[in-house]
Amino acid sequence: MAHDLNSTHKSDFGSLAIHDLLPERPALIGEFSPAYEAFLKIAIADLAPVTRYEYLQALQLVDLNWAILQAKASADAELSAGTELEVRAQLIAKLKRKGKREYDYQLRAFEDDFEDQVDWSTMEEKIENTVAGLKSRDPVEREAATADAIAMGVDPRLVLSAQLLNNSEYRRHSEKLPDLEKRARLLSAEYREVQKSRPIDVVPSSGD
Amino acid sequence: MTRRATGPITANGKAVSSQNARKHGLNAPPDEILVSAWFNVILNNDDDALEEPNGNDPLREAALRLAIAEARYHRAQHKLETYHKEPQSAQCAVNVLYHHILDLIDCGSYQNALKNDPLQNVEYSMQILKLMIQVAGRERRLRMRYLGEARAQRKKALSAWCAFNRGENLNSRNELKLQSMGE
Repeated sequence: MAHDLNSTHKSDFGSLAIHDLLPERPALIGEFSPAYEAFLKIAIADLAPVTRYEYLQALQLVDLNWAILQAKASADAELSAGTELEVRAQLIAKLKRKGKREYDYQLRAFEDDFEDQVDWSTMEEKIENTVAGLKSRDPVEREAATADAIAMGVDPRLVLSAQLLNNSEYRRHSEKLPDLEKRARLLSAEYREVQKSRPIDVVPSSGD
Repeated sequence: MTRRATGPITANGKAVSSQNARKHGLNAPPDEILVSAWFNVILNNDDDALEEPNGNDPLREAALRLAIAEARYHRAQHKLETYHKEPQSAQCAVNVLYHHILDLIDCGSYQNALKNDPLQNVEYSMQILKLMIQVAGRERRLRMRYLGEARAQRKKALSAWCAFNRGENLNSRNELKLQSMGE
């Protein structure tokens, strides 16, 4: 996806358009493109570049900030997915172990026809409800689901803590952030410097 | 007392060293068309007032230096970001080799590779992979070094450009040796 320039900065330098000066921003599969366009529009309006050079710097700043947002969103998504997966796996392990113990006990005690008395479907339903509660937007529901999970022997806080340390996909995204943020800070400082040192157009007064 | 590196001494060493920068082109002069475009952007020239890059006056000299620095910086940044996709890069070879080894192990085809010692082929590939990872690391660090240099040059050129626009610090030792306005 090339940079979409607003009409005031469209320019053609021989065979080059102004946005050819920056490397092309490749399209990202899964990225919500209109969101980028909207972000670009608002950010450029906020930065208010006046010269073409300021405009190109503003574009770089927008791209860097967008990359930071993408990296943060990706890291959060990985963290959330990883934690959910792990909590679910631990709940399944805990409840099914309990069910298996009960099943084995019944199996040892049966005399005639054996009938499985363990209610596996209720168990699965309980796991699904707990996981759904943990993901709920309602804080009361989330708190109740956390208490449920802890009562079953799975502490979601510890799972999240372990994910923060050990989820390689989360760390892969989050480790990019310091470099991106440093670049954005430096570029932002440079942008302000360029704006401050903008040559002042002297408008001759009428002399009245 | 530490002694600085003196560089290659033998003719053979000098010959090797002289070709170092040709491997990746990061030290090559930037594309003239790009420099020209940056030059006009920095000077904020209108479409009907485009000019060839020149250092005819202090303003244009500062703009030219910044234009060259910008073109170099963006090239270095782009080279680092796209390094893993470069077909000739060691990183690309690492990726291919890594998947090849996984295929060998997954499909069990290593068993047919050498009948006497079926795992020997995999072990050999792993050794090559380790070496390639080291080479890829070196190549990546080299790109980072050039990016760091390009960033520093850009920072200096930008400071000089801003200082010139503010009408200050024109004769700083670290900044441009700008021609005096009267020349």
